[in-house]
Amino acid sequence: MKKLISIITPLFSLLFLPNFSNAANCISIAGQNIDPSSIYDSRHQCGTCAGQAAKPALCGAINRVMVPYWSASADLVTIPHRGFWGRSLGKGASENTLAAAKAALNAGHRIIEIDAALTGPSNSMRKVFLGHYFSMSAAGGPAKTTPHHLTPAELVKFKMRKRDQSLSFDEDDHLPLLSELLTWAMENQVLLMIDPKTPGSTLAHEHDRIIAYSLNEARTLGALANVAIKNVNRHNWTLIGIKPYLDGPFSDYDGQFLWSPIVNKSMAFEKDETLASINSWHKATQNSKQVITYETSLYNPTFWAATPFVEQGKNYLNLIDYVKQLTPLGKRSAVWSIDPVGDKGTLDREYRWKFSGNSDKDKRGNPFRNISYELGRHVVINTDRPDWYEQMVVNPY
Amino acid sequence: MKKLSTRLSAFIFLTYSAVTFGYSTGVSTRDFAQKLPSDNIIVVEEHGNTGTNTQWFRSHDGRLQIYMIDNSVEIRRQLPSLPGVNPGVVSFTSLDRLHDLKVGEASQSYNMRVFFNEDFMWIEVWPTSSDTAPVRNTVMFFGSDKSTYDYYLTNSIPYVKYTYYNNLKKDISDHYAHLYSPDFINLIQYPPKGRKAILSTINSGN
Repeated sequence: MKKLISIITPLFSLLFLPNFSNAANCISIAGQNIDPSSIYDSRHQCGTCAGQAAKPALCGAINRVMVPYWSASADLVTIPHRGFWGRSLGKGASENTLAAAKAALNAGHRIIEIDAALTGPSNSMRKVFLGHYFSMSAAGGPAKTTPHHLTPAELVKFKMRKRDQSLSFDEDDHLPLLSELLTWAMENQVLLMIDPKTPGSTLAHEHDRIIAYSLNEARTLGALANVAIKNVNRHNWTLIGIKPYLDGPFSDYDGQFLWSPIVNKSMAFEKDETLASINSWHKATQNSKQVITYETSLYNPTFWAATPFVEQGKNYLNLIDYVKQLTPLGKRSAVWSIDPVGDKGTLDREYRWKFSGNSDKDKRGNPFRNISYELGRHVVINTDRPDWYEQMVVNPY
Repeated sequence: MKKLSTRLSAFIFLTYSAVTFGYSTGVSTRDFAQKLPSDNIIVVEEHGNTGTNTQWFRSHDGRLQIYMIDNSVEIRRQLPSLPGVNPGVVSFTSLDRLHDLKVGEASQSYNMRVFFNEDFMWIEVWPTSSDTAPVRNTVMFFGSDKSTYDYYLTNSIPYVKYTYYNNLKKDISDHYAHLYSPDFINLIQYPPKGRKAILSTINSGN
């Protein structure tokens, strides 16, 4: 009996240890050999060794986000907001365009955040394009016209203004349909983080439509692996909302793309509501295997999300730590840094300069504060100025 | 047609006036002795900064510096002392140029006024030769590190003034952004016939 136990015990313990001799541990990330199926839904392109081998650049970029290098003193991932636009000195690419995406890739960013909205005019013809429900003045068009007054064919003829608001004559600055960006993203192994932008309350279910139509187009092109959806709603509400607009059953999409839930989009979100949202997403996405990041906001050093708290008897340094402790390898948070891309503030929906600034309560525009929070050097920073962040930290890669 | 012409003339006059006189913050600033308890932003003005690449401002401890590099504003700031953070001073360059030097043009001398606290910085720059030239602004949502801010807030320094951040923000928000409407930019880039001479005057900063 004693001999039997001595044989079984090591075998049993092997079940709980990483098996580095196993061929499934085919990716090396953050100093560890990892089985892709332990961090991804196995239906995702990057969820198998074969999938990883087929798209090494795409999966490599996502792997780095999925497995933070916690033992390094910093592992900050920057994602250019609306592409890499308005730089270097001078005009540069216009925001949310193919030119901005190309510039981001040229600058070494294989994950790019973009805004997505719907064209007009009728539901059967509407397509997802990159941008907001701005006045068409933003693209050199009539001020009282918005994108949902125009057909997709009409919309793509307009070119997004440059950062200094001047008209653009660069072909790659045209208002692109999502399908165009997805095709480019597939060819270049780029992940698009799609942020649905709605016009307010005038169009019902617009948010759901943008997500569903984006997934439909990605599925048609075979580009679901190139998509992560940012989403302010909970998972179950989202599915109820988008299913009527999907071309097929959700099972045809499920697990093949990634989510990035925005868990506390304003300071009104208190701890219990925020943690409940995270928990529901975690449970509904195979323990966050379908989630690339949870977008968290700490706001200021005294806000509850930035300070230590106890939840169900467990201590957490802050909200970033709560997200980290969701998974054995540590889930990564994303943070939106509200730094102004230009010298005049930010551009509003009318494409006029909108001045804002850090307040006593909301200091998200201060990069120094953002990197100073506990675990704040191990997040994804969604920013107009990735160059600022990249020179501030010493990354392990 | 006459109506359109009248409207266009009025528009040109208004935009020309706005740009000629530019924008500078209208908030009242106070010396150390008159400083209000609510004042929480530092104001420093420097005149006659010359040269193409030059330092405009250096805080008492050197932890905050403002330069003009290649006709663009550059901030150099000491980073927080934290694991994984670059231990040196880093540079944050504006994406806008004050102006593009034309071939043969001498470098411009500028005056500069900076407002800063820990979380915010607003910089106004204008040619030394003219107080009515357009003010070029730079906004950064970060400011100085805490020790520098505290030093300027608590020590009486002759050339340093103070104001209240929320008033500054409101003034900028109310009076600044509208000067840069897309229509105005189009007018600069594609001036209608007869506008060239006026635009040249604007661009020269006089």
